[in-house]
Amino acid sequence: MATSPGRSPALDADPEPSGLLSATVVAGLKNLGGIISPPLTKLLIANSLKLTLHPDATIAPVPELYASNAACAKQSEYAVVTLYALATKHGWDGLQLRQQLEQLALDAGAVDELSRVFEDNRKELILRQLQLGHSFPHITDIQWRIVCDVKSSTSDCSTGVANFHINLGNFRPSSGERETIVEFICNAEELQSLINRLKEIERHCHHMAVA
Amino acid sequence: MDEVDKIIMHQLHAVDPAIEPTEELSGFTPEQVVRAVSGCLAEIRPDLQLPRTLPGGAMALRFGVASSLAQGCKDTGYRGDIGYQTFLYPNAVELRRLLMFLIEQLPRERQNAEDGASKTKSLSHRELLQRQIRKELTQQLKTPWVPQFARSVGNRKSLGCSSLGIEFRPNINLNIPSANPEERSKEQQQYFDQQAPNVFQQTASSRVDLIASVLHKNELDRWGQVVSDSALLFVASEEPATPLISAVKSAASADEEVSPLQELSNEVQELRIQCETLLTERKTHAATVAALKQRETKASEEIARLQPMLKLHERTCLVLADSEENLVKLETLLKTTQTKRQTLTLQWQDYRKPLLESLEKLKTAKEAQEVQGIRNNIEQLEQELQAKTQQHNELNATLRNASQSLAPRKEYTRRIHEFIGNIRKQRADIYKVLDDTRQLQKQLNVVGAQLQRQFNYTDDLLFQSAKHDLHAKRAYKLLAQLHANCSELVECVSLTGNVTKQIRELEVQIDGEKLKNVLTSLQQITGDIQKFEQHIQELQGQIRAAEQPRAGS
Repeated sequence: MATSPGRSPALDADPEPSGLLSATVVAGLKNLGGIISPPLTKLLIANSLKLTLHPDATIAPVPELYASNAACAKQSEYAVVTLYALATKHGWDGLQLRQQLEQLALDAGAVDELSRVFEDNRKELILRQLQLGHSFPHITDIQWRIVCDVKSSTSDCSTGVANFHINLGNFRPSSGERETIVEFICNAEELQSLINRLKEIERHCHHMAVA
Repeated sequence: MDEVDKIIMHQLHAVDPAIEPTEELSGFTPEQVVRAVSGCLAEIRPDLQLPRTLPGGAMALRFGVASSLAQGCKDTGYRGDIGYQTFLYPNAVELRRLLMFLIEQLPRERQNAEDGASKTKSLSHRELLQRQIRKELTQQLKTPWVPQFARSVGNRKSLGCSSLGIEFRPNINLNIPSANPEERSKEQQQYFDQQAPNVFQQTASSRVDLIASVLHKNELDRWGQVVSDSALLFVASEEPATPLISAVKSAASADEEVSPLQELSNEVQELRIQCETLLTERKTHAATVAALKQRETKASEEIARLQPMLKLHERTCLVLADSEENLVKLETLLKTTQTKRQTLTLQWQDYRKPLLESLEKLKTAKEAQEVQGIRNNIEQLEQELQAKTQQHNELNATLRNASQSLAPRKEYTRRIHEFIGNIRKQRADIYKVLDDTRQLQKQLNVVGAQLQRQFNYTDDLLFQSAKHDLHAKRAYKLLAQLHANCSELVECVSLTGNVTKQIRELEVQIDGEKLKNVLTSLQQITGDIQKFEQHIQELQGQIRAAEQPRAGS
């Protein structure tokens, strides 16, 4: 978009010493308590936090939030979410957050509210961000059936071999739909050896835990 | 039993150095028992808080300590008879059983650490890590199963190990108003005020995550200019999603720009054709340049070949111009060079002689040095040999000593083997006896069944004839009586057998009880009871003394 937002100001006007917040975030935070009135600030922070922690939460619509200065409100929402995400990412506690915010010369009421809400919900935020990342998928569900071919593209008759068709997967936390991670076919012997290897892992775990 | 005691004492000494391995298990005081047992329990279950010593004074305190230790032993899985009496009035048999159980339960890892003689050394990082892994695994194995969707709630305590990972997928086109409102055009401002979705709406899709998106955008804003490559890349991918404003704009002005557009396209066409012709020209020129260059290199090569030949020809021409004079000149030159050469050889001889001599000298010196070196070497080797032989002797001596000290171990193994042999023999005997018993039982059953059949047959026979014959009637009565008496006899025999069995069991029990030296413990108990009574009387006296002044007042 033509707004390729705030790239040059990010470097020109970088007033805060930690340098972790972009100019857009700083501008959004400065709106709080100023352009956006204190009661609306409180509401905006609470709503942002709730939607951060529970993305599918439904909150009561607040038309007055976007009534007068919608662009600022949108910027501030983004700023609050980013601030909390960065604070959690860098392991700040309430005091550190307050110090960082005070260096930005924000509205005092807004600083109070921001640090209070952060301190109250710090553990939830950590838990939320711990889940986020790149990792191998967990396997929480297994489906299987016995399959046998009838005929193939190269021969008219069946091989007559029954195989196990196994599908390992998990359920998406957001939508609950099932997701296949591995799908494979094996005969009884291969299945047995797979099971033995898995049992070996279990035995090793027990051994480690008990010894 | 002595050897078992020795092993127990050795292990106890390892657990608690205050217990000397020379002490006797039968001579243990209650204090020592408490010390030993609580030491073992502390090793087995470090999380358990147990008293380490038996308090000296009040009986009630002693009783409390003893019962808590007994409970601890029961919790670790000891099945035997245990209570406060085990600690306060110890007897060797029960104590031995208890201590053997506890020593078996001691963690192996500790024993290994002791074998390595690194008792006091603190644990290395690797061991600490292993321990932590073990703890974590034990905890995971103990946790109950939780369905996947409840894991974010159920496993909260372990800080997020919920197997509900969210992929770090940012929305790379997050559209937020920039920091400086002056930079925005009027349309942009209007768009942001009215139409633009907020950050939550933009990340509502399940394919992207809110926090990932805002972190990504924040970093992009901070470093977007420095890392222009990646920025460009994102800009490129933004194209399809962005045309909200510009599309509107272009649609509005489309009608007016029809004719200039055509003009421009015509111009572009012309320029393209021009460009093509220029390109073909350039190609032909480049080809001619290459051909000329090739010719140039060939010519320069020819020149380089001809120049030395030219020089040679010039010189021969000069010499041939005045041949006789030049011949004489050359001869004189030859002579002078010959004389020069002779003088030079003489000089060379002069220089060479001393040099040869010095070379000879140096060679001899070097040989002498080598000889000296070899001698030194030999001496060194001799010394080494002596040292090695000495070491060999010493090691021989230690070997002899070691083999002597090893003797008891051999002795132990021999005895263990003997024990095992004995146990095997006894087991075979037991099996034999059992077989005999079974055989006997079988025979008994067979005989009993035969007898029963015989009796039935006789009974039938006599009963039938008893209807007609008086004697037979009498005989039948006698038979019934005989049968009853016989069964009574058999019952008596089996009863006797049972009684003897019970007697034997009681004898064994009596032996066991005798070992517990009940008399002394009884004396101790009565002593303690007297102490209790005395204590109670004292307390009562104190209460009365306390009450009297109150009553007086």
